[in-house]
Amino acid sequence: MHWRVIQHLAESLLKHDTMTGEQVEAAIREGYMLLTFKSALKLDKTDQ
Amino acid sequence: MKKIKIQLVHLETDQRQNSMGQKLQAIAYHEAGHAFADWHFHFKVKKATIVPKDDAAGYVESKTACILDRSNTPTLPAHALAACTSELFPCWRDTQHNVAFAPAVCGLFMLAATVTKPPNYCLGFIQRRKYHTSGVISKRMQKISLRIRCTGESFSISPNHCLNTTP
Repeated sequence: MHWRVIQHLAESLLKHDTMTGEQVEAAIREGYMLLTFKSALKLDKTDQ
Repeated sequence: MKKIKIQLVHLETDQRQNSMGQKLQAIAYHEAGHAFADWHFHFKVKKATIVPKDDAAGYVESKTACILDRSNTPTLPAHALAACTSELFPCWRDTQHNVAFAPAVCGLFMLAATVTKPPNYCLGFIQRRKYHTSGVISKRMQKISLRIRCTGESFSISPNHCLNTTP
């Protein structure tokens, strides 16, 4: 689970080169949100 | 069993990686590992960058809350760290043996070492911020060992060590 979040953070870091603390935190939260969204999507597909 | 050896010298990249893009990616993953670990342990991240500075290819600046108390015990409880470490392993298996993940794991484990090892290592590690790290990862990603050298002193950590650490 953390891997996806780290991956998202790394991609953001590659985009920005330098990130402030707030940006890092936002990217981590975004990563978690994406993860939740993807899991929900997967569940949805299996239900159908 | 074929082993992949990864060596990082204070955030410098693996020389075997050829393209610039791959190097940058490795640095970004490594720094992301640091930043994530800091965030996870409620250390305030101030800055994360992949812009080279001095001998570092990138760095993460954070307010480290791991301060030793009067009995030289780190303030961060080891069981919290053990929980985080155990959470990490399923993720490791999910990476489909992606070598780029190693720098991130090294980053996380370097932070882990500051808390699980005896106080003198913690101090040395945090204050000097100069270390050599090498990780040996088996092909199946089931065994990880990490060696950290800090100005003459060296020690190894492995997942089992972290998980068995008692507060």
